[in-house]
Amino acid sequence: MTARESHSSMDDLIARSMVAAPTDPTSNQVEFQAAGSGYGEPRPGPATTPGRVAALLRGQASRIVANWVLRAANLPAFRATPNLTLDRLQDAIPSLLDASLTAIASSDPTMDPEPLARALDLAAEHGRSRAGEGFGIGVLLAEYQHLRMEIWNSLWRIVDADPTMASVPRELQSRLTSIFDSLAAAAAEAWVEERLSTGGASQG
Amino acid sequence: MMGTQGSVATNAATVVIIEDQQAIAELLCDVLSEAGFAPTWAPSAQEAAAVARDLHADVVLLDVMMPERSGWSVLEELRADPATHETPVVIISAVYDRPGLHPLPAGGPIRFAAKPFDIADLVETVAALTA
Repeated sequence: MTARESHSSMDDLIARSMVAAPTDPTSNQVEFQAAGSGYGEPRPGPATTPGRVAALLRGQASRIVANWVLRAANLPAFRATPNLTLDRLQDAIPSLLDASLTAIASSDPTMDPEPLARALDLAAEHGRSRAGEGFGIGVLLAEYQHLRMEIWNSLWRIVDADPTMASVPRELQSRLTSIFDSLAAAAAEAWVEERLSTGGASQG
Repeated sequence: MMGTQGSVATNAATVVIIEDQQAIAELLCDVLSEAGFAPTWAPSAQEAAAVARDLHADVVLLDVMMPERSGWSVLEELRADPATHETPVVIISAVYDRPGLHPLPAGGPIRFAAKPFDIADLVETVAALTA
């Protein structure tokens, strides 16, 4: 699947089921230094459901994945990999993002374990793949750190565009942290299992 | 050698991407094509300025951290050539280099994008430079 196809399939998912993302009102500066973290003081607003927030985040899926690529490509292990293609770098990320947003949107995993289980399966597959490619566990964990960071940045863009969503980061912080800790652990366990079974060397 | 070229409308602004990392170059080509620009990847820093000149680039995206040649010297070459002296350049840097650290040559507008930057901001910057 090409990068554009993966973006398109993600966008198709968005179009079928989700709300359009708001435009970032802070992104019209001609000269800029870096993407702002988006962190700011929470503003008062009504409680929002995780499902609605996940829908809004899905509306920014392509942007989240693109920003993740810009971060991940500069990890030393990836930077040192000759001719690292976009497909090879980001192959698992659109699906992982989609599954993690589904898990975020779902109710308590003890009541509805399927969404989280699906995301964990994808994370394990990603971990095995990275081990098979010779990448180290550190770069694997950094991939999850960057994905969580980009979801968080996206969340703040949503809040900045809609003050009624001000309570969202506080409401979702523990859920997002818990899910991404679980994803990183699943990926790491699968990486270790793969390495133990093959005994291969890593790139970093 | 020239890399990926987007398929867009005939009058789309030409954006030459001077970037050693293939994944980032592919991403920028994808995103800029979808935004209606005509991007071309120039993976060789040695030939990058010639590519920008030959394609009559409307904007150049220039990574400064490249293994074979610094982006700053590419910028100087662009500015020394009358054909690209006024071409807008967006400097992409992992470390934000203030102009004071690298004196900017006279010529067309220069913007900075420090990694990690937001992709939407970059597209808006390119759009503003080609408006």
